[in-house]
Amino acid sequence: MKRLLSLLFFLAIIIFPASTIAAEAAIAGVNVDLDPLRVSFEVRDAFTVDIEEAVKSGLPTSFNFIVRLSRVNPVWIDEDIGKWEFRHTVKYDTLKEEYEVRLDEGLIREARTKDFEEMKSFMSRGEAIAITPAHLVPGEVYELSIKAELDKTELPPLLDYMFFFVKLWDFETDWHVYRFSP
Amino acid sequence: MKDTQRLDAEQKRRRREFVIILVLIPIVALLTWTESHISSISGGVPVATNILLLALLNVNIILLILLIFLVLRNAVKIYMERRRKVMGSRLMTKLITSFVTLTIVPTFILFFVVIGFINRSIDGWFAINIEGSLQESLDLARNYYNDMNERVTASARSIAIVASKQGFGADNDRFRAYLDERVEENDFATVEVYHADGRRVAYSVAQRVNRTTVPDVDQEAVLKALRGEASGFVQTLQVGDVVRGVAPIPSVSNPDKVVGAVAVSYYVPKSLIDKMKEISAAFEGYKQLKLIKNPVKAKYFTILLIITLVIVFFSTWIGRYIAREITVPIQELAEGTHAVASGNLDFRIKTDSKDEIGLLVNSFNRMTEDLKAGKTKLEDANLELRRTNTELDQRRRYIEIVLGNVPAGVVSIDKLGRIVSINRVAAEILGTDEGYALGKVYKEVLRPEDQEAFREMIREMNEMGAESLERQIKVALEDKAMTVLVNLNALKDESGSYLGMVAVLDDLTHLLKTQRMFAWKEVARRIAHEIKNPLTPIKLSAQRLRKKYLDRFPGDEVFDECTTTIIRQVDELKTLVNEFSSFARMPASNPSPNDLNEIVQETVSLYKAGQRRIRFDSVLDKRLPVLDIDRDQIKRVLINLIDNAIAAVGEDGEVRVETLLVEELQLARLEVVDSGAGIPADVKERLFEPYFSTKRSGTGLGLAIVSNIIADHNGYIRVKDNMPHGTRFVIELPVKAITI
Repeated sequence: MKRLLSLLFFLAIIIFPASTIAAEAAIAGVNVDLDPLRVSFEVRDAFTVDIEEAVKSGLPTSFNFIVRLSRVNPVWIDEDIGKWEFRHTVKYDTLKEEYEVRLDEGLIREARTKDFEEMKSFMSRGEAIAITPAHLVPGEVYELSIKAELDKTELPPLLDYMFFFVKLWDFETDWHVYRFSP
Repeated sequence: MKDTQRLDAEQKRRRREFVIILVLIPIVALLTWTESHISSISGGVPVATNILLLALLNVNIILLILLIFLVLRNAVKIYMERRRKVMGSRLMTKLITSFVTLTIVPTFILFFVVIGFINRSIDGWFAINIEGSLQESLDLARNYYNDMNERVTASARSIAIVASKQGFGADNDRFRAYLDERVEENDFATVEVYHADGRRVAYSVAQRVNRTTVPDVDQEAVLKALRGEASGFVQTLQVGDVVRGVAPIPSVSNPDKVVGAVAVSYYVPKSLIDKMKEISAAFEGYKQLKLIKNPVKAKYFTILLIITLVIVFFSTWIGRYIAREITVPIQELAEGTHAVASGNLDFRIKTDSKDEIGLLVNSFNRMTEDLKAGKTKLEDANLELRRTNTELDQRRRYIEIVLGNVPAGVVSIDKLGRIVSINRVAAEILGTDEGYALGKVYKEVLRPEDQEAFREMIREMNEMGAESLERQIKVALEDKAMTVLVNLNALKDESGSYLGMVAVLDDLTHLLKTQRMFAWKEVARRIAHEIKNPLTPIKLSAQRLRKKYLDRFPGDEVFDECTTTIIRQVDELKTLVNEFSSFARMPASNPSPNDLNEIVQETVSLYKAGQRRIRFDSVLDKRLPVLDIDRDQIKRVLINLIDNAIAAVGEDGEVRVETLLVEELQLARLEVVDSGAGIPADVKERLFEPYFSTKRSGTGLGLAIVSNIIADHNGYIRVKDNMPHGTRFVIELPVKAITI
């Protein structure tokens, strides 16, 4: 019986490896500008060692940012105003040794840099992203919920075939709630 | 009833497992569909392949869970059964353990070998030389770009210096020729010269390059150069890459002043780009593979482990199934054996199995049936045997009673000489015990002198070829001598085979004694009659002689003495004759109820007064009942015996009279004991014969009369030695129920 339990424990360790545990990434530095509504934020500790290695290996890596806006209703459930999704993608060009960053924030911007830290800054920051259309009523209380998650790593086809049920280097932050009143 | 319940429970259990399987199938299907759906979204792998793989893995996982459940449940059941010491649990544990061990060992060996193989293979993929080769290839490609970048930048600078010196106006043909020459010499795609105001003033393009292929240089880079900052970069186009170098043109008079910019472009064809990209992709692929090296290993390990566990658990389950197939019938067989051993021969084991176990069960059932039939027959035979035994026992007991009650002794021996039967009388005659003698060889039981007599008779029988022989032998017992008529008969069965011998021993002592007594009485009567008749005339004649002639012969002493002697002897003869006569005419006893103890006391008291020196004692049993005896005759017996005792002890001694009731034999025992010298054995034999006396003055009739009286009372007298010395006369009289 002991041996059987040990075997099951070992199996559990194998099935749920440590790498699948989400990193302690979190949304921080949220700032809101009004008229028009623009939001700035950054993701801290988004780049774990595994993700950095994946990026440097030339694996396309994307961060998805989800922004939800709701009007706070003190007596009833909150009213959803809208939901916006943005995507930052990086692909390292090993030949030219530069990072190609694509920032899809409604308007698509592209940037190339050889600086890794700069690339991280591009990927982790959302600078004055326009949340449109958002017609805010002055005096009301609104809640802005922001969450970031690593998009499913795009493995090469053969590897994807092998790891169809495994998520590599995944992370997902908690919802960061920012309350404001226009 | 118990079997039926067990079968019902088994059927319920199977039904339940069937339901579990039915529930599991759609779950497996659902999981497979879900995961294949997810997979089809995530990658470009064929859906059919994914579904197959997913199905297999899911089946494995579900089977694993199911098997874990079954194995755990069975393990708990077996553990509980072992604790409860349920029959068959030990065998089942052994079988499962053996089965699992036999499976686990090769499976785990295979598992570890495969894991090692996979590890080595995967490590081989990431061997250092491969990574180094890929890195060097990539470095080569990178160097190409860097070299080209530096070259075009340097060329841009040198052209800028020339332009500064020679001037680079649109009308400067010499400079234009120089540009063309540089383009041709260095295989550049284009060389562009810009004025400080941003206008392009010169443009040279290689003949091999399509003018539209290489676009104009980015204005941003030109402006940067006009600010005095040279730059080199790669511009990616659809048809290839363009490596550009942009350098400022310094003023001749003031080198810090920028008067224009030179942009040199080198076209890298797409075919070359593709090759370098392939190198880059290979390196990236390798790095990505290296990145997932450990997850790949872990996954292979997991899959292998799952397969291994599936095999192990499945083998465990199969082991248990096979063990149950064996142990359940064995358990039932054990229960059946127990039931049969307890006497339940109606026990049957139900089986549908056609294998050896089924054969065993069927054999058991057949054996039980045979046993039952045999038992029935045996019981019938036993009843018959018991009845026969009862009859035989009754006959035996009857024969024993007959033999025990016949006055003759009967002894039978088998052909080996072992005593098969012996009755009480024979045991007494032969001086042994019935219990002791039975089963022993007669030579061990008989006294040496009796053995000799028997051996002599057997020898005679053999010599004569006779089947029976009769001999009269003397038997000396401890306290008496007996005359026994031995009738020896050979026993033979119907076929004439010798079976043994039977000896009938008749005690002739009493008969001979009676015969002698009668003979002596006849002799005494005749003697008395013949002698007594002439005695009276003799005595009268002698008296007449004395009367007539004594006076005539006054001095004749002879005459006087002779006649006196004649008369005295005639008187003595008369006394003798009278005694003979009285012996011969001994009156028949006239028994009447009398107290033997009282008679003894009366008689002993007579002697006590007259014999001061001799101690008289009497030990009387108060339990002694009133006996049917002739008082006078018994008193005479006592007197005769006490007289003999007094004569034996002499002047100083002890005479004791004892009475005792022997209840088990219903006898009254009267013993007269003296402390005299005792009687020799040869004398004992003739002691009770008439006219046998060891005393000079005795007539020899005293003990004969005693013997006669006791015989008249159906009693028995014998003489024994008294310990430590003396003689003990023992008289046994029958005790009869007397109504007074």
